[in-house]
Formats: sequence, structure tokens, C-alpha cells
Amino acid sequence: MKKKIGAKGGLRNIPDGYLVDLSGRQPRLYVVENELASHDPLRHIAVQILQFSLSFEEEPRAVKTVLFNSLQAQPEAKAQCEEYAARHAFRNLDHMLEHMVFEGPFAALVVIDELPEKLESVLAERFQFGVEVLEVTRYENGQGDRLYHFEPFLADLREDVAAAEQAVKAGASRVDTSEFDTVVVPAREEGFQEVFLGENRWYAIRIHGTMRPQIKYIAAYRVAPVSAVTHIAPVKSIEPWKDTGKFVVNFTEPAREIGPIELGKGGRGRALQNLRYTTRTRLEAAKTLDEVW
Amino acid sequence: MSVIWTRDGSYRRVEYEDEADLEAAIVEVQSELFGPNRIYLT
Repeated sequence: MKKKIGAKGGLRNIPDGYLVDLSGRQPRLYVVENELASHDPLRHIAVQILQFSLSFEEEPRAVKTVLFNSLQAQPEAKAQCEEYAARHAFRNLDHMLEHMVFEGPFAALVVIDELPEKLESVLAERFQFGVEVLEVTRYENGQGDRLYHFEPFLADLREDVAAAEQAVKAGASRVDTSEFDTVVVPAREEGFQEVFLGENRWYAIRIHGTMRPQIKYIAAYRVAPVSAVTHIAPVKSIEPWKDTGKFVVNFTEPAREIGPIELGKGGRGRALQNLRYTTRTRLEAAKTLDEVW
Repeated sequence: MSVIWTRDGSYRRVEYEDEADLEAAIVEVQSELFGPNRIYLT
């Protein structure tokens, strides 16, 4: 499917692939770049992604045509897209692709064999749009049998979506990853007082490249003995934190109190172990932590 | 050198020969790597 995109005489580029994401209410497209760490990846990947984004802006119709033609050659994938289109009120496959390419935000996915230390920081500094990075490593035994090691794409978001779907079954309104606007972080008391309240920021956390542009609020879950979400702040910026591959979230103003949104009655329910995503609406309406997801 | 040990023997980290080799690996593991509701088009 490798086709050049971009206007004649302008930038012309060949992505290694496209990822069509049908896991949410809105279809989402990622331009995929596969890269080996031995090939000066920082410079190469940054340049490639910049060119892809410019070509995407210049020639969205060419991208749509590439996708349409590729799906014609893959009947199962085409059927899956058509079924999704029908379920989500698109007129047909063509309409769905048009919506995805013309209305959706540009996003990129880099798959690499070994994640260079500074890659995620460099990409976050250079690009306003979402860029995800996946590391896929390979192992082999003496008989040539192979194992692959990787963290599945947006794996922690899948958990949040699964939790939201459970909530829907229990009567809550449906939430979609594209609607996530709030990140909830677990905080120990000392760090909460000194940094979250004292410095109006929170570091050093990992936030997905595709989530960063849409995060507008940060809330703190204070670990035991408080065991509750107690504060929320609007987000001013999310920037790389030194060269750690992690990020600092700067607040627009000091955090204000909410809730407290505690674990279920008698401390039942799961305490927050890692950063999770939700919506401010869902967070502020929640009586217990389980209702947040 | 990173190693994964199993009772049936150990697995050693091996590099991809080139980008086409990495590409083939991605295609092989795509359903687990991307999940069932994502389609990888190459």
C-alpha cells in the first residue's frame, strides 16, 4: 500500500502504514512510521513525521484514496470498517473515511525496536499533535522460536474504556476516549502539599501523546489514609520533564477542592495505583471513585 | 544482552535485520499489538 502522498512538486512521502482506530465513537487515523534505533532515529523520525503532517494537510483526498484502495484489497478489514460505519451512522465506508481524514486530528504512531532515551521528549517538544511510540523487541531461542515483547497500543486507555463500558451497563452515560479531558494522578501527602498545592504543577508523569492535546484538567487522588480525589486544577501546559520521557503538568491557577470522591462504602473499590483518564463532568458527578471511570 | 528465561529454555534478544523485518514482525503480532478494533494497513 505504500503510496506517496502530497501535492505534485511539493512534499511527497511514503508512510510505512496507517492504523485505523475503530475502538471509539469516532474513527481515528494514525500515520505509522516503523524505525530502527540504529538509523539516527531522532532526526529521521522528526523529519518524517513533519513531512507526513504537511502532506496530510495538503492532500487529504489522496490519503483517503490510499485508504479506500487498500481496504478494497483486504476484504475482512473492509467488512469491519463497513460494519463500524453502519453502527455509527455513517452513510457508507466512503463517508466514514472522509470523516476520519478530513475531520479527525492528525496523529502519528512510531513503532521502533528500541526506544531512544530522548525520543518522546523530542517529539513532544516539536509537535502539537499527538504522537504515540511503541517499542517492539524480539527474542529467539536456539531452535529459532521467537517471542515478542511490547506494551499493547494505548493499553491503559483500554482499561479506562472497559471501565466506562461497565459503567454504561450500570446506567451511566457512555464515555469515549476522544472525550477524555481530565487526568487523575495518585499523590502521596508530602508531594501533594509541596508540589500539587505548593507549586501549582505535577511531575514527572507519563501521558500518552494523543491524550496530551485534549487534557484540560488534572485531579489529585491522595493515597491512604485520605484515599480520595480531593482537588482539581485547570491545565495550562504539558511539557517534557527534563530528559526523562515524562512530563510536567503546569496549572493555570491553584487547585480547588472537589468531593472528596472516596473509595466505595467502607473503603471498598480499587484504590488508584496509576494515572487514569476520565472527563471532568464524570469526575464532578461521581460520589465514589468507581463512578469516575 | 537481555534474556527471557523459561523452563523450556532461554530466549535472547535479537535485532531486526532491517525495517522490512520489523514491518513483518508488526504484521505478525498486530492483533495483540493494536487490539481487535484497530486495523493496520500496510
